Amino acid sequence: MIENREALKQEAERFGLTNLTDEQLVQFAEAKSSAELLVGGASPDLHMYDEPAHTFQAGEESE
Amino acid sequence: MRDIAYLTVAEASDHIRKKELSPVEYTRALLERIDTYDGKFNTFLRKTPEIAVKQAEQAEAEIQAGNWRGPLHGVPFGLKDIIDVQGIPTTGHSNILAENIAKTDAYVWQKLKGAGAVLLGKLSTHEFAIGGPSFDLPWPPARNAWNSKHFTGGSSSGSGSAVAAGFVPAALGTDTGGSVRNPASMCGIVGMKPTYGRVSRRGVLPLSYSLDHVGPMTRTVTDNAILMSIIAGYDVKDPASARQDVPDFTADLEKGVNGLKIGVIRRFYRKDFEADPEMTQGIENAVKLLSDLGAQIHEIDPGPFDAYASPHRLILLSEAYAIHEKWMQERPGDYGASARRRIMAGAFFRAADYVNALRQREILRRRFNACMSPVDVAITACNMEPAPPIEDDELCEKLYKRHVRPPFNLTGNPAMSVPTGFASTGLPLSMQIIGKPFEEKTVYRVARAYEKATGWTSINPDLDA
Repeated sequence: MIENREALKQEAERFGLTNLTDEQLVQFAEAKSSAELLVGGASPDLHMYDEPAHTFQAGEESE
Repeated sequence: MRDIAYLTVAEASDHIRKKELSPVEYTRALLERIDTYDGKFNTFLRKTPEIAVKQAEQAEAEIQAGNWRGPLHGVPFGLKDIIDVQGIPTTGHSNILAENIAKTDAYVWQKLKGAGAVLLGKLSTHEFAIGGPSFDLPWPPARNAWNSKHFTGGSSSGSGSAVAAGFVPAALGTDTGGSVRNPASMCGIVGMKPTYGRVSRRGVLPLSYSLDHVGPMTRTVTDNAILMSIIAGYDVKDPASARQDVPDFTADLEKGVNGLKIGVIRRFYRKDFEADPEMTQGIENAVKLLSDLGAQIHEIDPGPFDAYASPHRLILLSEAYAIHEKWMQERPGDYGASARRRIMAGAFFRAADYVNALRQREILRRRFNACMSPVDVAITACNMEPAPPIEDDELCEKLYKRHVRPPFNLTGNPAMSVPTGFASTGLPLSMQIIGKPFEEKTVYRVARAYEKATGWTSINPDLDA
């Protein structure tokens, strides 16, 4: 029996993950924890003029 | 001629060109070796003996007629099974794509085929180049040629071990967070992640569009440079492909390091992580040797590893989830547990998290290149320890928390793993050499000077041990 099964199930369903077994729900919870840690670890100190890498560039190539 | 299994690309090519070695006999000898030993190492997901013999026969006929195409003509080869070969499956080592027959050739395979290379088969990988080593997939994980009880590193696991085992003299891998360099490091071979955009990724299963690289894996530095000269180049159909001239990557190999400036990033393996003492000693010995050979050594500090790791992981998982979302919704049970857990994390990031990670990436790219400006190349660790036992989940997982390869996927700089000898256990040690963008030639030059002075890359494993 997993803790917060129904809450986890509902959260997974919001992502369209409606077919997860209990074992996969546990992995879903682990994935959530690791994602939260990553976002917490990123803590960006960015100026509004700091643009992303890989900004779109217009090109002339066609199909 | 020495043991045919361990001929380098350069040696084999020389023998083939002089008609001292038949591509057909060479191909058959390696296929037989794979049949004899690969049950122990699981490096091939799919052998392609019919294609191989046909290509070898064609190469032999062309060479006999005086039409030698170049250094890969008639030379056997393997491809990580996320690289498309028209008409045969590209599985990504996953149930999800078990029946996925490639409709066209990947750009890199087109280039290799055009150079006359002989395809022996498709090689094991971690599932979709992210989850592994896994024992819950349709095929077993590859095992290390130096000791089959040990991990190969990944995700280009089959490529690393097959090259080390003498099943093929060269293979292609892919690298999104270190997946060429990690198996190269663990299997005692040479693996290059080129500059982002240097080699087209068209026809390669994506993991993370803005971090994916294709790179060569070989037993020697010279062979690696030979391959890079063939697969590099602008591809109009790869949006990330760089409009850069392709040099002859072998041109400066024998120039030595006298006068070159080499930065050492010690903080990654002495401060941010503490590497195994034998790994550290191997790197320090290499730095000393390069200094003795005439290089000027400087310590450089690009800032803490963690500053690079978080945006790298966030970008990787966000892009991976975008690719896998539909399958994850419809067929979650067809993934192995490891890939499923890792990829699912990407569901939780907001658009702002992703964009901010890309903004950090640009700042880090500039910071790293500023740090590199006074030197020609940098040296640091690749792994913190040699290959762990493959069935020890905890140690294999720990490996991925203690490696310093992702910064160079994030910044796009070329980075190569080079063998630095062996631990007391007999497992390979390694270092990483990092270059300035599109300066792979200098990385090869330094690596070759080191290789020539040490001879580590001429030592091969005993598969019967």
